[in-house]
Amino acid sequence: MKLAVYWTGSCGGCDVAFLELGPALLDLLPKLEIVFWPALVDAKRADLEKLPKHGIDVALVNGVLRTTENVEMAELLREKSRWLGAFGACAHLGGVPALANPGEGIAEVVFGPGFRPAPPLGEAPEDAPPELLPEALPLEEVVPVDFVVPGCPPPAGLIARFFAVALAEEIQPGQVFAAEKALCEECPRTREERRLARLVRPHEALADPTKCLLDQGMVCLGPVTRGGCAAACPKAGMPCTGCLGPTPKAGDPALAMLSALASLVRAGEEGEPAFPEEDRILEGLVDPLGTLYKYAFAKYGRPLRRLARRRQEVRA
Amino acid sequence: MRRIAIDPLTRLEGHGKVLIYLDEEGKLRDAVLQVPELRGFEAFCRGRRAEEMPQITARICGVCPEAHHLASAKALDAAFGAEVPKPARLQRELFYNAYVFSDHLLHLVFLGGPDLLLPEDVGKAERNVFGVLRRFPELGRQVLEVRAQAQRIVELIGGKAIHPVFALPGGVAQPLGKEAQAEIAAAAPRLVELARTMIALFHEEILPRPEFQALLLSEEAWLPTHYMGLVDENLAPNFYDGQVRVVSARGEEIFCLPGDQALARIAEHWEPWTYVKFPYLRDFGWQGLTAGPDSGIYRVGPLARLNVAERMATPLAQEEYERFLDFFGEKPVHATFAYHWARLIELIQAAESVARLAQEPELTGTKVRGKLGRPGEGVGVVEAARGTLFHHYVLDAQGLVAQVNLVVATTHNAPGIGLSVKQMAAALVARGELDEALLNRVEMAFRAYDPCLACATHFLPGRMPVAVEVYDARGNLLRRLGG
Amino acid sequence: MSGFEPRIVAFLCRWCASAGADLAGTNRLAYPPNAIPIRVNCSGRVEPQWVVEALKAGADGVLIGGCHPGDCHYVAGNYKARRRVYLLRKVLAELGIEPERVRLEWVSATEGARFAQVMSDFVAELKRLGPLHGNGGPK
Ligand code: SF4
Ligand code: SF4
Ligand code: SF4
Ligand code: FES
Repeated sequence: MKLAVYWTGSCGGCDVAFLELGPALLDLLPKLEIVFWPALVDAKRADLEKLPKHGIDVALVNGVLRTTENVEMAELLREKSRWLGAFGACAHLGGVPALANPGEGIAEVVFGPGFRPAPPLGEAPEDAPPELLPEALPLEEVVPVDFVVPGCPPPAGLIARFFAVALAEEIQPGQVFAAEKALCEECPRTREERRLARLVRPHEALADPTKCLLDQGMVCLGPVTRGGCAAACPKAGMPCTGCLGPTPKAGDPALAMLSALASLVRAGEEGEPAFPEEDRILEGLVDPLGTLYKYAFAKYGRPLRRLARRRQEVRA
Repeated sequence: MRRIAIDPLTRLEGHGKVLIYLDEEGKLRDAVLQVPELRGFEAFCRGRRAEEMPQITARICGVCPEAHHLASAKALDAAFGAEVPKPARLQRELFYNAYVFSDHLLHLVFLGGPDLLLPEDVGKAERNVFGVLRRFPELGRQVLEVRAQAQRIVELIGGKAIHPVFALPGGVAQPLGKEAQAEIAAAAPRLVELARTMIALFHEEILPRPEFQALLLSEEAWLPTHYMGLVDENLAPNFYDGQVRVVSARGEEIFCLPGDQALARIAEHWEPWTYVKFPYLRDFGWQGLTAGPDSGIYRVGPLARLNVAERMATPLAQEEYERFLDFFGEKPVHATFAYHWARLIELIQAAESVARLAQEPELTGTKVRGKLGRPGEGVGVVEAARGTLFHHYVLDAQGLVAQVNLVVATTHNAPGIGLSVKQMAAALVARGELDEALLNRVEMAFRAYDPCLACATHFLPGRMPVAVEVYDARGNLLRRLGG
Repeated sequence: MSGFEPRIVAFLCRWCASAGADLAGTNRLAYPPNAIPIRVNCSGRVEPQWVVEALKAGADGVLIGGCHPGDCHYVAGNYKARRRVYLLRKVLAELGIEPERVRLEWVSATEGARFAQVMSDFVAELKRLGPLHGNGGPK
């Protein structure tokens, strides 16, 4: 199988994630012909450009699309590949770096207003750093994506499954290599759907080691997130923050989760007298965008944000 | 003007290009390392929950997420005025040494190492980890197995091997179980054993090669700069904690200070042709992209840590450190390719530290959270595999992030890397040698630093003790932010 | 914003608000005709997703009409609706969308006049806020 792996706006974790297969890599490697993978081999962009159309069987792209160069590379890989997959939360949903979208332009924050990229000697304009896109985008916004290996980064078990399926030539269009069912199904903590009299941030309390974190008031995205990681974070005493992406049933993870929280929060007997206290509990959900859309803002939060931004522009 | 682009740079973390410009006579006009990427963490960390920062900033870099995770947790400890109880501290330190081991191993085998482990004429299709596995199949299997064990240690404590989740302000998420400790203690000797094997290999296969010695001592890879690194109270390198010591290009101590005060001695410069910034020591000011005792440019990472330290913290590492000093005969060692050797010495210190910490009885203690005060401002500093890493946060009353500044290992090294690239390019151009194998030499020059360009791209404005100076194309100071 | 007629999607509980709307109709009470009513079994059944879909698809505002406290046929559906709307408005505000565009009102089956009043107030509020979709419609 001719394989390409490429990073756009990435942290590199998705590239290193392959190594988490450990010694199993030794059995896998002879079955792969790596045609392009900047993290590990020295093929350059020009080598990629020389490949024929569909010269790559499977290309895995990780990272968010952040610059014009990222977009060019995504298009180039699409053209050269039979199958193109989004690998990891950034390519799949925008990932953590897409939390930049609700705010102001990053170059302005980082370098101050009026920053313009320029080439080193003022000549050869093609040598200026690529322009930043106004928004960080998931891969599917720019090219058709055939399948997804989700996670931040994808857990080793899911990567192994992906290779087994890909080598057998059995990838289904649209396939997502994680469970359809919610993470709670594979979590060892006991969930009783308790009523919540307060929301607790992880640093504010030491969690009971066996009970469901959500039942203890922590915003755990387990109910709306796909399984596939064996509930790594809840096992470590920390709530799931949703890196495998929402289940097909949940759809927009923030909206599904706020619905779940609304069902659980109680200030004693329900009814009008309890309203102010209920509101006070709900106020405990601080930074709702960062909490509920940690990985998925670009895919789910962005359309409304864009609406709001367009309005601001029209008004201005 | 002739232009040569190496695009993308390969076998490193993140995006980079080298641009080489020649004039009509074929002489070098300039050679630069460009980082064409910016994700802007400083911008979007604002407004996030403080306790999420160890997880969010881990996403700056998937190769050293552990470093960001703990630099962040330490900044939060300070911002909440919390004492970290011993069991939590031991968990963090053990986790951290396992990470340094694993990360150094990654570089030695997968990224920069193939340049050394394989003879220079193998060709580009073979000059990678796969080539290494073919040439050293036994070692290859051992490396994969032991690295998996080191990653397992990271996972047992951190929850996930890549992008851990366990550190919180004032401590860690939960106590470590006795079974986990037993598993770690059982794995630790293999880490030490592999580190010894790697060092033996270095002395048998690599160091004796004349072309490697030539490289190690060559003028085009000799860069006199200042050095920065964390040291413990015995002036041995410590990855997790200690004081920031800076030693001049002549080997004299410039300062030895806690993280927050050290950070105040650094300023940053930027250029419009790259998304990475250039830090320098305030004491010297920005003298342009030049090395030497009068420039403000300093380096960090394995070589820098060995240059600022007086000894290593563990016995086998100390033995190897002495061989290293004997070889060069003087300190500081300015040889850029000595980074590789220094990395091996640290590999063994990290392995020995894992073995020692795994035996600590208090490792499984149940008191894992210190009492938190009101959220405020804090600086956290650790030694990432690639060098000193500062996180600096200002929190609001709700415990949300109001301001962030990150000064990252590869950012500190950006000026040094740029200079090394230029030195190497100049030497090659002078010899009229610009074929592909030689262009790889330019890449080797910066791979020695194990640069992580994913880490290097970001910044912050205003009210922080880091100043940013903005220059126009002619080098005139336009304005100055912060400081 | 002269001539701007806000578009409203109204999710109305069949046991109360929807009947209230019908009553307003049969009594020929004058209220602005801006709403597309959608009858639901209980205000507690209205998913935040539906509200957001409506806003994305061109609505300037969304009204959720439910039974008065104590009157919900499913005992507490309206309380759940209230908490959902509270959180949803918080999220919308962070996205830069005025939370006032989503409104929850209690209207019983006999309160035809109240329904008319609620509609007029909401239309006035949305006129004040202006169109959500820049030039008065999606795209
Ligand atoms: S998905 Fe996670 S691991 Fe992969 S590139 Fe993005 S931040 Fe890194
Ligand atoms: S801790 Fe999280 S994942 Fe586990 S059962 Fe509770 S909600 Fe689900
Ligand atoms: S528990 Fe949630 S956040 Fe953690 S790895 Fe699994 S899906 Fe990702
Ligand atoms: S039945 Fe009307 S709100 Fe529940």
